[in-house]
Amino acid sequence: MAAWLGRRLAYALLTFFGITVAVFFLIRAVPGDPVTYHLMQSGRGLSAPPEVIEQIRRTHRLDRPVTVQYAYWLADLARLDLGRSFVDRRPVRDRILEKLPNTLLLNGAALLLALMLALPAGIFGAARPGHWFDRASGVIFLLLYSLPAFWVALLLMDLLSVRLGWFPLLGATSGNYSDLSGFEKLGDRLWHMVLPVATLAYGQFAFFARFTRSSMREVMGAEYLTAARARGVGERRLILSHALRNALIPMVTVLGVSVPVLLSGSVIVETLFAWDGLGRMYYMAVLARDYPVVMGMTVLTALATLAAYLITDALYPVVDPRVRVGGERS
Amino acid sequence: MNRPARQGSRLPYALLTSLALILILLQVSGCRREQSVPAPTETTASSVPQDGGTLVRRLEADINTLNMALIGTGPEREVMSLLHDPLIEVNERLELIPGIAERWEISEDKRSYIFYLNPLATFSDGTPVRASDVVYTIRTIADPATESAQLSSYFVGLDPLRTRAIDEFTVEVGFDRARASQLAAFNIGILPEHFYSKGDFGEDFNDTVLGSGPYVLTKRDPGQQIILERRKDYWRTTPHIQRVIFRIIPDDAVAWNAAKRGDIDETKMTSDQWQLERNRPEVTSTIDIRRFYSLDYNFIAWNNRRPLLADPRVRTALSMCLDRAAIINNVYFGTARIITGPFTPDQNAYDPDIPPIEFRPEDAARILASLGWRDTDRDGVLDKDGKPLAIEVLLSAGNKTSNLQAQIFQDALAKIGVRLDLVRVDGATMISRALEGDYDATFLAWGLDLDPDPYSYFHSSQFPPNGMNIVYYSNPEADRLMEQAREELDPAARIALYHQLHGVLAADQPYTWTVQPSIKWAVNKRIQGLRESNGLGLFLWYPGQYEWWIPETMRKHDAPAPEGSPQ
Amino acid sequence: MTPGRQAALTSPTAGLQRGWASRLAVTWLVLVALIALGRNFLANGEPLLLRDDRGWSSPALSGRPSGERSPDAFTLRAPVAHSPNAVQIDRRLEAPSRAHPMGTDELGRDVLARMIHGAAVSLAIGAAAAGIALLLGSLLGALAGYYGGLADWIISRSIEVLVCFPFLFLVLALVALFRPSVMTLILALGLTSWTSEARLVRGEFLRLREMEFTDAARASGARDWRIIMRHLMPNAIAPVIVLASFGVGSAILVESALSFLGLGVPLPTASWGSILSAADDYMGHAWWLALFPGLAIFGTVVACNVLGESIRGALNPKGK
Repeated sequence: MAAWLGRRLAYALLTFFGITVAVFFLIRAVPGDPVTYHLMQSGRGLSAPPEVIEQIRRTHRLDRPVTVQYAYWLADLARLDLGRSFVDRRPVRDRILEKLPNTLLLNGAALLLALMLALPAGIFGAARPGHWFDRASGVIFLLLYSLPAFWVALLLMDLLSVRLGWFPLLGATSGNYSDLSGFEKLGDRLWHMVLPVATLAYGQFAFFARFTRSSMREVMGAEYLTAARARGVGERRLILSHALRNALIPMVTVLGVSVPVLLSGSVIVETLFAWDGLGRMYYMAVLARDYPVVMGMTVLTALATLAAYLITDALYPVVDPRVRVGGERS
Repeated sequence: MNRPARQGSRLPYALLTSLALILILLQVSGCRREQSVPAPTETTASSVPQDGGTLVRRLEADINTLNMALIGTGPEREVMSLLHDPLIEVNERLELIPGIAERWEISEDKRSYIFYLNPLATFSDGTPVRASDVVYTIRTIADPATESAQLSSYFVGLDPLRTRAIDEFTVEVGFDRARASQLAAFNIGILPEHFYSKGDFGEDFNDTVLGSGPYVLTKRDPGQQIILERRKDYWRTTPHIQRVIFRIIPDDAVAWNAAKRGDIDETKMTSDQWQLERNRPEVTSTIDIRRFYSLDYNFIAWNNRRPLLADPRVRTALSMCLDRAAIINNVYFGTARIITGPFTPDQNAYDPDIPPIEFRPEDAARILASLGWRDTDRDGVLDKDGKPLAIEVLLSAGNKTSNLQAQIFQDALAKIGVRLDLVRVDGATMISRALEGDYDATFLAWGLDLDPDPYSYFHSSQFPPNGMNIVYYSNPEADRLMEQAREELDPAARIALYHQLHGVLAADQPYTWTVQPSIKWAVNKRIQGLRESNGLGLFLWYPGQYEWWIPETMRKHDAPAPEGSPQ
Repeated sequence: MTPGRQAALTSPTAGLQRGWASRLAVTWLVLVALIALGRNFLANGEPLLLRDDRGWSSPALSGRPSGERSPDAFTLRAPVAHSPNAVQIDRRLEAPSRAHPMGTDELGRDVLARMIHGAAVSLAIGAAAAGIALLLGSLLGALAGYYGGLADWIISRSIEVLVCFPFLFLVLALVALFRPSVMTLILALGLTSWTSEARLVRGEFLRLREMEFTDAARASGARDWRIIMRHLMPNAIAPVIVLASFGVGSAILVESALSFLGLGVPLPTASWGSILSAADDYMGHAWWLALFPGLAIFGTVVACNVLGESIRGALNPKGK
């Protein structure tokens, strides 16, 4: 176990460095320069005296070779310092922490909602194969799964907020949010979450439901269930305790893959709904060539992804006693 | 029901869209009242301004810093203008009037400026604004170590030795050469030396501020809002409004909805919002819409170094294929105007007698034919010496307006056998390619200074990285006119030089000037005392917003009391 | 999208291997493909056939505009008599009418004509991106699975890096580094989506290389390359083809998302995604800009997914 964990950790570390190196060098290879971009955007372009522009480059260490810049960045990272944003000079860590709750809220709610609906739908379908519910839901899941999220969002916004005025069109809070009382604030937030959460959740729901159903079906054909059934275990108990437990195994893996998305956010949905979250911040940092913020987000998502993979692998034997850690699984 | 139009300016777009729209120290514009519906009739006890109340303004983006010397963006300038009084103010007629400096003298050789400070002027901690603070501020801005990218460009050529305090309230600022445009640079706030000289200037003053303005910062929630409270001991006429809240709302559609609900008192509108919503009863009953032009222009830059585009006749022929009237009528619903040269019609440097280039694709085709361009291979595209007449146009991916205009232009040019290849890239890529000269043509916009000097854009010494002559335009005649004009201190003579320059550039067409859309601004009708500057719009001039007031019967947003106390 | 595609492979879904569903899917795809192939005949502002004093010609196909012609000239016009890129600035955002059955867009272009020409672009992007992913994924997966050791290690680590890589950043970088075009877009989509295919093929090869027929082939002196291509690949490829058919739909979806961010096909090229992306700006004012391209994308993605399910059903009958 320790040897397995050690090897996996070493691999994860290696992958992590691979990613940071790739992003670090790639974003500097892409055309576009943070200093001139910032100057042209907000200052007076190249009218600024050259000494000032040079000084700004020096401060950001952009006058050094890229390898040296990376070494500095690594050294800072070792001290858990992600640097400061080129754009607003604030620590990258603060900026990430500031937007994190918004993104977690949106994606967490969507994932939770999707799971809460998907598990019963999938289990029910699997318990009665061929039943009308199973057949209809199979088709619906596939249709939902094929719907372009971008399109759904547009239709939802057009219908439910522009035409009917039921939900706010955009944003995470109303314009008068700061004037509201605590309870009203909560209501305001929930009200703003409905459409973006729905947009994010329906695809995940379809996916999880299909997944639950298929893993349930696979398990239910297994010999030990037949044996249990022969022993007279009730069908309900059979499904909920025996089959479900085993069907959850692949679910853990799939969930693990979903966790990093909770952090990285969805650029499209955040942009469409003007949701002030990490996905949008990251995208804008890429556009502005705000290297420290891009690297900060890369670190966050890479760590989350690698940790999720590691944990799901480690959890595997817990949910499925037949598997020993370190063993090849198909 | 409500159907707000949505111009594509979600935040990432805002980034791309405002691309190269260089925000300006001062803005000049011609104003026009859209609807001269005055104050609401029912309420409004009197026309005597009443003090108090809360004004909620909209900011398009959060500010990156509260340090006046480091500001760069429009929102930062808006917030700073209430926290710092400038040395010299600009009034509604764009004239420079006393601010902290109650008067000034310019030396015979026009290289020294002596400012006499108003001894009453104080910072919000009660200390007077001294000559040493002015020297400190200007030296700090000019010091490269400060990294003041925007403001430092106004003090190029500063002579530090002749920049000194003559006595407690008299200060001299010296330069190594005379510039007609220099005085306007003193429209900057003054930093108290005793506050800003302690600590790391670059890092310690981004979240805190001490200035001489009528308001002080009481609360700042990053990404949400900035709250300012009126000073009790302000040294000049006190503004009427007690509290100003800046709500940060990046999205135009969100802001417009908030303005309609009364959550914010003012916002800029998009052309589509204006067109679709201005006549709705629920809008006209609560919102006063103003329309004016600001000091900027849009253009197509032609890389004059490309052999094909080096010939002014080719550039003129291309300009003839842009149907400006159709764009104005169909895209801007008539609320835009044609611009013929490097100034806007609101600047006196602009020569109104220069005729615009008409939409005449047939004539363009004739010009190109006379230059030897024929469609010899019958592929629909003109060619010469085996090369097709194809031009690659760089576009910023998120800038919907330029994408739209480029496609209109592309369609018109295709009809006379000129192929435009539209290449969309992200804003940063576009800027770096434009500055490196790695492009044929691109759609851009410049925001202009109060002073009309276009030296940096068109003088042959200003090729990047020295300046912003990104089209590599070079004409000795134009160079001479610009050199003379920037040192010509007689206003009338200077204007005459710029009119000549305007003619030269209009004939050479280093750019194709497209159209200038007007700015549409919505203000809630509870705000009284609204006055437009005949030039600057609503803000950034004196007294401007300081004359606004809210009748007691129409107060809102006043509670809850802000946390913390005025500094 | 990657985990989804993988899961779709391992999750049998009821009711979809039925004949009618897959027949409908195939019909839809064939129809769209035919429309795409015949786009120049179906939607063209120029006459398909023209007979004037210079004799017969086809301005639509030659690409040469016919220009002025006498009113008595014989013309045969396309069913949709609009070119996809013909701007009519005074007819912006017109609702569907007899002249424009799907309305006009923000430049007054005929949406139906753009839908027809967009079919070719969207299908090509979907198919080519999925094809690249299939090719690259199966090749790298095969190398990793067959040789194991260092090759496997390198390829597996690369997959891990790519999976953790921010997808949007990668696309943006590729588009910024190379000249943006449909080709660049296809490459960007293809080069970022091969990891599922590679993992799958690697797994199959790990299993297959231990089988007797592999040993037999090796014993008979066959070269590695031949063993991989002739003996192992045919046995491993079937499930990957299923994955690729899901990939077609997925690539079409991603293209529409990129269009929304302004990173899609170059202007003025019509793709379903590019038509849809304009809808956002005129929300509540131009429903036709959202409805038609959205339906087309939806239908095609469903068809690809149904097809994938059917193929898998055929390969793996016990999954029913």
